[in-house]
Amino acid sequence: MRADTILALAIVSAAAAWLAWRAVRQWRARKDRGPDCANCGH
Amino acid sequence: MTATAGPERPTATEPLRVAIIGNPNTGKTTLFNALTGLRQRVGNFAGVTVERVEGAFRMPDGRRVAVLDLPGSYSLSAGSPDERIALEVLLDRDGQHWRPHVVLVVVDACHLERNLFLASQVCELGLPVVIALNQFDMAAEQGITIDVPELIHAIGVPVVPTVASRGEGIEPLKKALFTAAELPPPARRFTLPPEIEASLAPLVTHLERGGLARGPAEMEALRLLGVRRGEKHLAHIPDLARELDAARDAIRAVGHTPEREESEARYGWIGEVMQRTVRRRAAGTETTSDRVDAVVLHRLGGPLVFLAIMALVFQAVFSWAAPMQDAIEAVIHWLGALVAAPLPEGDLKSLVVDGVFAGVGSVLVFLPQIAILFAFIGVLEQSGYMARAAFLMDRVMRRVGLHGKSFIPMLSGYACAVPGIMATRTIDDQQERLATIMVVPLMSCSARLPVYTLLIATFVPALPLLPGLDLQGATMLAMYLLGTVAALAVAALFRKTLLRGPVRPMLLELPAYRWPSPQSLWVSVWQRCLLFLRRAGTVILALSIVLWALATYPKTAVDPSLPVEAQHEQQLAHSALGGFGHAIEPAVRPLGYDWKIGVSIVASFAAREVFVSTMGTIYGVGAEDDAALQDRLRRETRADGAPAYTPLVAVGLMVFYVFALMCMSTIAVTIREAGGGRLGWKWAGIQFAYMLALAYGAAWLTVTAGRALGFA
Repeated sequence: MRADTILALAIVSAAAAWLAWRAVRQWRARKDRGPDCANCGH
Repeated sequence: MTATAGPERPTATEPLRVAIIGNPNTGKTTLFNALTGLRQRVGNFAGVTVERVEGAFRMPDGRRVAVLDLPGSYSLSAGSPDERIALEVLLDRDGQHWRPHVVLVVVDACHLERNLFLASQVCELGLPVVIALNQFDMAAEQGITIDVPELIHAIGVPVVPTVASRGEGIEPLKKALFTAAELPPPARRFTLPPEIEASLAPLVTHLERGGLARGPAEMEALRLLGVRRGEKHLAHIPDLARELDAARDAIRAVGHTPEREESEARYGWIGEVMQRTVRRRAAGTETTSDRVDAVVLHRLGGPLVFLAIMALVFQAVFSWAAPMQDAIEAVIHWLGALVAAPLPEGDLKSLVVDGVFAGVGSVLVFLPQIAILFAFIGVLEQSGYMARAAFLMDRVMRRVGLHGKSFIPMLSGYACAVPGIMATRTIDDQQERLATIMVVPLMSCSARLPVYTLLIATFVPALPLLPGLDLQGATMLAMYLLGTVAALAVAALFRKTLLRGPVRPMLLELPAYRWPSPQSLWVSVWQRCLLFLRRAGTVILALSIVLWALATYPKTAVDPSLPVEAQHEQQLAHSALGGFGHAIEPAVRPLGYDWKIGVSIVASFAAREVFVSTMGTIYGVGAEDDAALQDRLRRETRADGAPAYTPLVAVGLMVFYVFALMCMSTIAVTIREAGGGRLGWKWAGIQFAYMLALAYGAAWLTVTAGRALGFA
């Protein structure tokens, strides 16, 4: 596999992991703070 | 530190802590912005979703001041979550250890009598107080003259006239905060009949034993007489309920009504203060606000003015944003080329160009639209027009079985459904509140704006209709109206079926018209833009990268004899995204959509604007040149050579987005606000299901009817 493909896949994995972590964090925080929203900052 | 210790002074190293409190519509937030500028931090009060905004500023000599904006409150007595939080912060019972050194009470000079109720309660908390007599200019315009030195004498605290919207009186106010911190705290200015004082004495002593200083104990004793529920911040005091009952019995025994004692005594004193300090011009003098209202609130003229304003807003979103949008697009293209140039041909370059720049870039170009929309909303709110819009809508709201109060959450829904749903907390009746929660997401939020704008700009021609309004602006207005009318119709349906109940009249105070403050406007637009950019740089960036991977892998052996564009198309069709898209295509085919739109709709469950970035990524991956997304959509053809996207499909798609609940955050907030647990899930489930059914049905009807009428 080419080096740039490996780097691209690493970036994709990091993005996917961050999205999953964010979803879990928001779900856990929903009782205290409410979900984060794009448009209002809540 | 608690309220037992009396007022605190800031040490040499810590900033002066100032809490701002005031009635709603006093210009409290404008004053807060004028004091702190952009140095603000937005969060939540512990354990609740009431917004906590903290800011800071420095005096010319370097002394620091931290400012906390407390929720708008009419008094410290009522039971709303907002007012409870304000009281808990002022008494340092909220667990955040942010005891203010000084309380700044913002008072509307035009409505001094009502505002002094809260001010007088705050003055009894044992903390130094400064009063900002805001909108002093408006009071003068309305013929109200206030004798400020006499008012200072009557209340016993510094009073500074201000016009926060123009920054007037801000410097004297800052100085007054430091002066007040050195002064002894004010105390109650009125006396109660001796028999009431005697009846209250045991309760005051009990509260003092429970840790309150003399002043707050007296204020709490009087306040508690009219309060019926348990008080969290006093829960640590044993036998409080028994002492309170004893005090109420004693007051009844001497022929008084305990529930009315506080308001009667306080308003009695306020009446005296008003007589000493306020002079009014003879009644019957018509103010500018009255003259404007004669048109704006007219039975026929009012709705026409409302529609004209809305048309102007949506037309401006198109016309004014276009040059800025072109500039942003050019910068993104230039930046993309600059970053991609040194990279060798391959997956990494494709990720950067087709994933990151095509995905995030396609959303970023809508920044000017967001800024223009929020600038207009800010102007309408600050000028006092929004309150008139609520008043105009009250008649319609009552007809559909909703309280006039429901219109404010629905208006908030134009920005975002999440704060809109949270704003339903002001509605007391649970059935009315639930009905409002169920329909708020039908109001077109700003996340739909990129979807509407992309489709309108691509497929709707800018044919002039009326002076200052073309077909593009009118289409956008129609989408917003469609959502609003649907919200009212669905609310009526809920009120006649699952959520039946009587409709109560609304009391609404119309604030005087005022010029919006440029600084406050700038702060709110800037904050919205920052949120939009943060979103583009985080969630949309990450989703674009993941969607690029799904559109690129697994790699397939493409036929090298095909043209390059067809090779890309073949790879895309065999990718994971292509496979998923083809699987769901039968579900979206009746609406006239291909698999690419289907995939973009599914991806936009994370956030609506992801529809645009997904289209950007899909067409970035599948395209040879770097033409803008709009050109690619116009050029896209089906297997049979017919255009894949027609104006009819675009309108159907917009109708789908008007009705569909494509937002995880809204679902989460509905679950919580509709009661949490099983009940919350039930209502969120009903909301999601009916909106999806409505979206699908309306989009299908649009396309089917359009075809029957001969449109493509």
